[in-house]
Amino acid sequence: MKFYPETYLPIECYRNAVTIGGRESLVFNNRNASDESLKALDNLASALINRHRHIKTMSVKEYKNYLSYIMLLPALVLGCHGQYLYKRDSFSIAKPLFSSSEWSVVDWASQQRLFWQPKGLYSSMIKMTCKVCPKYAPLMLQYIDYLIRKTHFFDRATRMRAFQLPENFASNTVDFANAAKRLARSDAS
Amino acid sequence: MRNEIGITNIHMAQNLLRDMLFRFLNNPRTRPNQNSYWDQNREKLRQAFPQDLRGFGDCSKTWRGIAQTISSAFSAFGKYVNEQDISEGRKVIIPAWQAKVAKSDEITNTELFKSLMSCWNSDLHNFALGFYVHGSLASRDYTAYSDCDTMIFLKSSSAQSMNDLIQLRNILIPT
Repeated sequence: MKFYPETYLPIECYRNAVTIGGRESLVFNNRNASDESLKALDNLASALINRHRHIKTMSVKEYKNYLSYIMLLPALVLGCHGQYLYKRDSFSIAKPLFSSSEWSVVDWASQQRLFWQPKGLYSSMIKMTCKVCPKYAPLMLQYIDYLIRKTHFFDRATRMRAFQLPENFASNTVDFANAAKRLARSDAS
Repeated sequence: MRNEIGITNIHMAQNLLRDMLFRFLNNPRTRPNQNSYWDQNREKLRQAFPQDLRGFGDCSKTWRGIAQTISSAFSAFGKYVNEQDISEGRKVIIPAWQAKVAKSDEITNTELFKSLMSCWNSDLHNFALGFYVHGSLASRDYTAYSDCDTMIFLKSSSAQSMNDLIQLRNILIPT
């Protein structure tokens, strides 16, 4: 893989991957991607800041993406300093760089990931739609997401547990995103 | 003679090509004449590769036109890569899923991997170097929240062939 930017997918991720078919050995010749790493981080941090007010009215897909953004940000901070890690491994290294209140947002997102309901009504709808009509499933699921958002059906469709945001979630999210931007540009981390 | 364009331009062009290829091969809702996405990005590629204008296809209203644009841009891309901008190679061994996942007792995932392998064996292997699953499903620390994250590396010859790209789209998007 000549001219490979690790912003696409860190090489560490391939070390944890499995081959379905084809070459089991790959050689990566990286190129510098520092500018793109910083841009990706800025975009993600801005998305976190701009969207946190709408978290209670997000569709399932938007909500899932939002949680993913939170959990990806620590890896992007390290990526801006040339440390491209597997997302899971980035948490322990990035955590000391943030204050406990800033990091509480990551802890909350990780908890939400664990509490995701595997057999909720929403999962059933996805499975049925994909089975009955695979060609139009993406379009239909987009419309189902739209209806869920409009009717505030989200909690009942996806989660058994009550949806409660942690205390100071809004301010902690903004602080977390701003800290990530700051850390990405600092020399200390 | 090497063509010279700025580093920012070659990086931008690579990202743009990746995005166009991704949409072309993955998004069933994309329509060739639906919006100006394809026209706008073709113009950006023209600016990035000013000496290769003629090869970039003039029609973005059909899938063939878009495939021609993407394949022509990939053909031109290699001429602009600066060897000094590339680091030394890092080798990664990625084990076959049978060795890592199939030993587990999760029948659903075994079925999923078998269906992916069937896709590889039936058509995909003609166009790609490799087909991989990464993320939590591969490292087996998944939850109900997890997606199935996949990655396909295309052969250069396929990325540079209009006909191959159209065939690939037909394979990857169910009809």
